[in-house]
Amino acid sequence: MHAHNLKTGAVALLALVAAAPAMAFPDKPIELVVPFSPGGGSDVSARVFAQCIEQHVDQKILVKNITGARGKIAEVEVRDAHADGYKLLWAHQGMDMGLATGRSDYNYTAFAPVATTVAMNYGIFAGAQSGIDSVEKLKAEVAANPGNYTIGTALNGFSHFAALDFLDQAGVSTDDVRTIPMSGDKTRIVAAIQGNLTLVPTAVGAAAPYVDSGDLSSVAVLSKDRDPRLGETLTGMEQGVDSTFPMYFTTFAPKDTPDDVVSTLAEVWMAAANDPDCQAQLQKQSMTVDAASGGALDEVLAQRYQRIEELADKFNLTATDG
Amino acid sequence: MYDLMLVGASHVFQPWTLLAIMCGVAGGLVIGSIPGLTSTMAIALMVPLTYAMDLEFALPLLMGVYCGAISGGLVGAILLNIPGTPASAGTCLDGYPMAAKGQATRALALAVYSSMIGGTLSGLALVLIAPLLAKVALSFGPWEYFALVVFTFSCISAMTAKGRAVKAFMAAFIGLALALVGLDEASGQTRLTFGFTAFESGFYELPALIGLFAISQLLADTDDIGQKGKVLKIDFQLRTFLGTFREVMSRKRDLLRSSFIGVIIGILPGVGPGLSNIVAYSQAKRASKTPEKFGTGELPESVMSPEAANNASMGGALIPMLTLGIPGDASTLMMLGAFMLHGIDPGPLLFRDHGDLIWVIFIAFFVAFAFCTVIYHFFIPLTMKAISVPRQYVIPVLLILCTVGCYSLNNRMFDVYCFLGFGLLGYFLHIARVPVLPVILGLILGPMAEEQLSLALAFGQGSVLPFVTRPISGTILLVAVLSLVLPPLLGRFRAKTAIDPA
Repeated sequence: MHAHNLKTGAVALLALVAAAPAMAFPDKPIELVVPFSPGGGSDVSARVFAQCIEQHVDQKILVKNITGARGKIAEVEVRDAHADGYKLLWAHQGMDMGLATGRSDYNYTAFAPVATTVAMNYGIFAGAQSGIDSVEKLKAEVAANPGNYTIGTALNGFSHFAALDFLDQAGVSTDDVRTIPMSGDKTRIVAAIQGNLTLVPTAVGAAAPYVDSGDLSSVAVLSKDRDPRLGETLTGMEQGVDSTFPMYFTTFAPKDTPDDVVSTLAEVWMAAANDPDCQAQLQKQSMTVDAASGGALDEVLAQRYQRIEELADKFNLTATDG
Repeated sequence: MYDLMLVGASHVFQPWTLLAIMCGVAGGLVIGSIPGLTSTMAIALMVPLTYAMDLEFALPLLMGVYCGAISGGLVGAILLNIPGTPASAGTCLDGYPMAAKGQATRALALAVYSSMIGGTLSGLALVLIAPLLAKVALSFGPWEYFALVVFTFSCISAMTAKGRAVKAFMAAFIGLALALVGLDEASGQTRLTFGFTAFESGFYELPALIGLFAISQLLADTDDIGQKGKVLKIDFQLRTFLGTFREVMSRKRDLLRSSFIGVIIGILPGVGPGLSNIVAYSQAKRASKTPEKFGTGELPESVMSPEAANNASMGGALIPMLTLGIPGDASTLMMLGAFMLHGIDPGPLLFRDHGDLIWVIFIAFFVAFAFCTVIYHFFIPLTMKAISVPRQYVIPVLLILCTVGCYSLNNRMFDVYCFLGFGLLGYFLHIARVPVLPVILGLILGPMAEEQLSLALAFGQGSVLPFVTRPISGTILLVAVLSLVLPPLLGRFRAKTAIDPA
């Protein structure tokens, strides 16, 4: 009797499981895994964008922070997750830098990309006491006193690549500006304010309050257009430096996620990204939208990775663990 | 400053926030009064619960728990002769004899009122000193921070019981070694991961902290299952309780001395209420005209001094935690973890950029003490129930809460395994009578020391001279060296002078 009941139960359950894919995706909340801690740029962008998404899909988007090892813990968690489209990763180019520098053995190609949406502008700032407030000034000062100036970066991390991209394009030799390994926007900003450090690569949003208060001066914003938060600050382009290096947040699904699920997600993500209300919300956090999905996305991701690899090769960032 | 204060006040004086502080205080009181459950444990249980809350709500709640848990220890100390937390060890000495003489209400009232006064005084010290120190600390470079960490480690010898200094240092080095595991954020190198990706994140402070303190404590508590502590019967009279306030106020000098000792010891890194109550008790005895009556439960100041001091240490311990990010004791360590969990980095910048949050903390601190006192007037019978709950019901519930909490902190099972692993480590250390706090200090301050040292060397182009030539870091390092070298030298000198006359 018992066994029989169990059997019918099992059959019913099986039927249910079999029927599940037939139901419209998504039929339960979607988890969006943020690889960094609450309050940081990644987290804020994900939370704001998740609210936008909820306007365009009938499900909840649960933002979940899994931190550690510069995002690797979360990346591996999503990479190895059940490929059903209910667990997604909110990553930036840091993931690709892991492979380019030999810290990890995978990059964006280990995932099924959904869409790249939010972009956070990055910039190069300097401690106000240094008197450096433009690319021209920077070049002149460095040429006059090579080795006298410093730049703080988390080695082989995003800030390092952004700094290298800028210095490379500006034609400032990395031999003339000493690189100081230091992590965290705040640590770098404090050191620059105190005058211990000259140059700080950091997110515009993080530096803006200190630029307002006169503790930091901005050298260049590494974006195509000026950042609305610091409207006065010239971009690199405007100063003749062809360096654009915003932090692009891209949503990834596990590799084997069914194509129709990925395209459903991409549609929703693109709709949210192009929603003016959403863009206004993001702008409050000094973030912009630079959206792409499908074939265009593959192209963009390949381009971004190519530049990262170029920089890694040029500045010999691969041999650190040697 | 006043506008920030008003903003802070407007955040705290919201009905729900006030309720949160009250619940925090009540919860802290109950947990703190159960012998064996420390204030660290109380905060450990609450931190994961506050995870999803707004900051303006979570901080007052945590402050409530912190205040409630530290002062909760006095009930067990007086009625059970077992201190609920180490912070109340000194309260047992005279509080229990007084209660045993049938003056339980008087003993409790003395302790409660002096707690309140000590706490309020330390709150004032916090409000006055912290912003000044934060201003000075804004100019602290890596040299000063490294010197501070060195100083903290030198304090480890001061805070451990006599003869355990070597064990304490051993524990600190265990912590330092564990801190090496994982990815170094600044240089991008991974260390000691043995090829496991999970290890690359290193060990998180909170699961380690909760494991080391909570599991070892709870396992040790299982020894007490079946033993019934003798709870003194008390005939609680609110009028006698209120009347004792005048007696407390007649001992202003003892209150001031003990509070001062409490604040100063609280500010020193690594030591806190656990030490200050004993020191205040012995100083009160030294200053007394009738030291022979200490321990008999007759004198009011013998109950008041340790209680005023342990609460005074709380405000003191918050000063270095908020201004420098260096915790004063285990409970502030836990608070530090909680702050970081909410995305706040305690440090001088916190005062500059988030003045309103600072005032939320300050005001919540005072409000928590006010609630604490009010609650004591009416809920002493309730806390008496709490201290007599059989241990076998408490332990499993707390273990489950801790486990769930550790998972929710970072949403992964690895942290739960860490929590259990650190718990075992803590239990073994407990058996070997090795203090646990230095392990955690090593784990938290190790990376800080490394980061600041390498930064200092990078800025100074490899020169170690600035450590000595920069005035603040030089002074701190000198004090650190003296605190290590002087006590044994003095001891030898005293031994010599003691022998010579003979």
